[in-house]
Amino acid sequence: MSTMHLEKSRAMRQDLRTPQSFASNVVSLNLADPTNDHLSALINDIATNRNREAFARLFEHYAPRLKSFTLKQGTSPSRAEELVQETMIMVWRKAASFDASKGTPSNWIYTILRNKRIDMFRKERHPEYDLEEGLEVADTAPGAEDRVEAGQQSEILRAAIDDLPEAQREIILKSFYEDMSHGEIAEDLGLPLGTVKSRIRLGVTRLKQSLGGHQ
Amino acid sequence: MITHHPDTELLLDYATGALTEPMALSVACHASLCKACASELKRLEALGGTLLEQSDKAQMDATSLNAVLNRLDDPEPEPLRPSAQFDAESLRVLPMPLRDYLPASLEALNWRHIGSKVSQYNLDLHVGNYKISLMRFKAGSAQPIHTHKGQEITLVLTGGYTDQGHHFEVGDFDLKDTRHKHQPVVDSGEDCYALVVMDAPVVLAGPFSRFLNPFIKL
Ligand SMILES: [Zn+2]
Repeated sequence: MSTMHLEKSRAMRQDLRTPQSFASNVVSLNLADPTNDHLSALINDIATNRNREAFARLFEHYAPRLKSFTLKQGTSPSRAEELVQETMIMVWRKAASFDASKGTPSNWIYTILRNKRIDMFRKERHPEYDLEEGLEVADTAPGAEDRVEAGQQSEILRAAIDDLPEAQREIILKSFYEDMSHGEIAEDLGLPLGTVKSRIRLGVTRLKQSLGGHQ
Repeated sequence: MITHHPDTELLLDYATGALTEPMALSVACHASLCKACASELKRLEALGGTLLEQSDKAQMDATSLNAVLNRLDDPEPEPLRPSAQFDAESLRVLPMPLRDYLPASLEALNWRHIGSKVSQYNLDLHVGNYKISLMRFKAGSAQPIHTHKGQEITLVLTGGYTDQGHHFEVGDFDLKDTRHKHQPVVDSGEDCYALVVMDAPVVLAGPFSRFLNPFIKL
């Protein structure tokens, strides 16, 4: 799918969804499928105004998805419910650290869910990387992330995951859904470690290429 | 320039949350110094975000939203340890993720001196069999020969060293396992600070290494 096509389809959908009842910068509740811009606006509203209504709307969008994602990881429904609630509380607390220029709301909330899961289920922390200032601009070669807008990224990635060869897709999805390291996946599937490593490398390289990287 | 990076599968494990905290710390420190790996992690986390966005909607409990709304104004829990005030030298040496694990600036840490060439500070982080240390190797020193029962990750923070023909410098992620026997020689010029994460004890190789090996006290 070309970039231009994506831009066009995105713009068209935004037209269709332009809500008449658009109150301030808060997304209307009846939007079935809010855009990243809408979701970002909600998070910023929480950060700036501690807006509980915005939070309720964000909750409505994300909580059922977070729960379903967590259930896929084999967590019991009651634990999943608890994890989602704790995750959404972290979203409220950390809203000011969200930066729409660095990624989509879903990417950000995914990392909060991941970290909360580690905190609750393993009693460990997940140390976060923080690229040192100066390094961010030191490399001026355009990276994949510069070529693709955050909003398009998830659509492209979604298609790219579907396009992966089954063997690669299986392992990458298992990594996310079943909370296993690549070593555990090798054991679980009865595959040599080297096979799992090479499938991960091939799969990740393909995904990167789909985002416009050329390595 | 950084030439030694974590493998893709390790980055994936970081992004999915499958790494133990000591391993995740070593990857996070590297990605704080390496733009390429920071970008790679961003992409892998975007994959997680995409899968989340695509997820079906599971039914939340009817009382769920209210339960959360009622808790929003609860006081936040205290941080695990109060953040230390670091001096300029410490800020130069320590990547951001490592700072959360240190109670004071480098000079104020309770270093254990092992001979005249090595100082060691064990991080207050206890997970399984892991030993996580900040090490300071004297510039120009040769370290004893040793091998490993498990994995050892050395993340260079200042200076550098050469081991088995490979040169490691600031930001390099040096992962060794049982296959490697090594004897690092530290660059002259500047002391080498490194974060060292081990998941099993080292094995001594030379005849007198029991007396020389700085890692014996681990
Ligand atoms: Zn790297």
